Amino acid sequence: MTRMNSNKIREIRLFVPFVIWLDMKHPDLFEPVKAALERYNTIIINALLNYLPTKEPRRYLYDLVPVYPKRSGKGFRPGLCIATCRAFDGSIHNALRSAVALELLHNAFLVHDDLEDGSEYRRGSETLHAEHGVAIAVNVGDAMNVLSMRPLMENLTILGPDLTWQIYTEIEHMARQSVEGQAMELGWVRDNTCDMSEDDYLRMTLKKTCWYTCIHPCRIGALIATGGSVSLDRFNRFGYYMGAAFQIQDDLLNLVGDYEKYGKEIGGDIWEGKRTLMLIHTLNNCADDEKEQMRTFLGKPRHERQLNEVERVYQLMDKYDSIEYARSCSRQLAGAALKEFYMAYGDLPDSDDKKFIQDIVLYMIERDI
Amino acid sequence: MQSKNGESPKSALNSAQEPVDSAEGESGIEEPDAEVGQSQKADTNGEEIKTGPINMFRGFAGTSSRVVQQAASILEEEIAAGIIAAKQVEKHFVNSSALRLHEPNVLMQRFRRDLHEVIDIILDLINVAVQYVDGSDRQGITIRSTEQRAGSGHKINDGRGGVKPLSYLSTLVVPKSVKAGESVELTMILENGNEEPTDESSFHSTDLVSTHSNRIPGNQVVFRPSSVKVEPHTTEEITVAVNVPNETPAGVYSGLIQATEMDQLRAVLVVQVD
Repeated sequence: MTRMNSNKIREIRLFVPFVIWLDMKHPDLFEPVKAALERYNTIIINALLNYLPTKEPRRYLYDLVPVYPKRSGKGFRPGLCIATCRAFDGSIHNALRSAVALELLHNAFLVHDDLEDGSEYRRGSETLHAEHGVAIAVNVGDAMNVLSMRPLMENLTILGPDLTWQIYTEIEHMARQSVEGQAMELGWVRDNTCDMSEDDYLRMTLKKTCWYTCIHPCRIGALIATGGSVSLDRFNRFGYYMGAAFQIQDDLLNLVGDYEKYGKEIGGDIWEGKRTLMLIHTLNNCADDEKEQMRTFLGKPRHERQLNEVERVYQLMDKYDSIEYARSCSRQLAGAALKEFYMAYGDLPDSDDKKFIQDIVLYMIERDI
Repeated sequence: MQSKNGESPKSALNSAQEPVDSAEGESGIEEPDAEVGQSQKADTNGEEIKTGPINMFRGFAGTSSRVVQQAASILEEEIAAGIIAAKQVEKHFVNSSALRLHEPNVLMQRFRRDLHEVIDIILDLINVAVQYVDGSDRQGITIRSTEQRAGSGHKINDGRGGVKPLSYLSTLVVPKSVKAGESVELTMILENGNEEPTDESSFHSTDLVSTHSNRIPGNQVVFRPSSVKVEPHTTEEITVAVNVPNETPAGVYSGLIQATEMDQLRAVLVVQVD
């Protein structure tokens, strides 16, 4: 794996001292959120494993299905679903199957997404296709999608036909938006599009990430708890702002994060030519000759890109303050999410789960993993 | 991007005790509230520090935040597009003659509640799985066990002051569990609510399959009598015996019972093996 020159990384990190200061001085600030995520994640993973068939084929299918879920994932999506359900006075039991389905679908997206991006590492280990080959990985991703159907079907005996139908509707929309968003992003890379606007980025992020990371988990949790008696649209803006802030932070970590904690190759997004907010900002603000350099770099297949070219992109991002701009946008969106939090959850009694959801907005953008 | 006091962004950012964002300028970034600025100062009061970051972010996202406004507009556009698409699907559904329901308004309400595109219809196994609305003379046949009421509660008016069952998919649950190598029976009741007798029909069962893919062969489900004809407004009892083979693994086994001359009639048979 190719690494960025350590001096370059150190130089860029000087631009973002506030976050590091905050975490170093008060390392326990996020401990309650992390602990709650860990608790929910443990419940979900254990439940998910129970849905795996204990029969052949194992070596190239069912033994590989739990690989991604068992890696140190954050468990945001099922955690949000369950916490929202409980905040609305619902039970983990009622939300569990839907939360398992969300996690299976999420990991299916990850398997395919890593392949589509050409990513080599995920959560500190080789991606599934890097380790086992493209064909095996694609099929394992497909299996995760298929396996997500069973827990959703079992909702019928727990929640009844009406809620089961509504949850299916939520999941269908969620999955379709994700593939549409992915198609947008893949299309930009394939066509070497270099004139995207911020609106384009925000729309792609809404479709690819926000519906399935934040909006639908909250909607489904509230749906289950209330039987559909609350308007689910109260979560749309909250989930969107939070999800967009989350995605920008994820893209920032890819550039300036700590590899040991982040688990993916630092700078990998630049190698991939991923259209992040930082890249789009640089493309929209740089000089014509600089833009042409970037266009040439982005037009190459990944294996033809050179380290000095990647460093040049970093330099341009530095020159136009694109990283700090993106960080500022992330914080603005997080702030908006916090305001929307009170619209979505403000009428609920105080509870640990309500507090968890509020705190997770901050954690999502201040995290380093 | 310049800070409000004219310093370069780098020196402003290097000071952890200064607000990290500049005054509103080309990037559209709003200046944090003064109150927010106070909470950012390095302070030994742990409580102040804990609430500080949340207040800071609240201050950053005023209504004039451009990126937030952009995001809000995009969200509204996408939702509106989903509503339009859902209405188009709803219109198609109303015009379609492929599927007619006794209570179309119920499903229409489902469509209208959704703000997203609905392309596939997932059939409600209890309410919609088996329905015939074109006046078939078999509509009056129901199948149940001695533990069930006919129609399982799903009924509609028959136009003559009475009711008729809406659903023809019954579930016959053997009341007690059985061990491998043993047999168990239940009584199945066929009720003919029509004015004409049924044809002579025999019954058969699919394999009974457990959640772990173990099977009890269908030929181990025996019906006594093997065929039956039901006169109008009468019932006939059929004994359903399940012979569980030796070494059948424990589990809950389910299979489908059907009748040869009553193709709309079917029931799910459920047996628990200890």
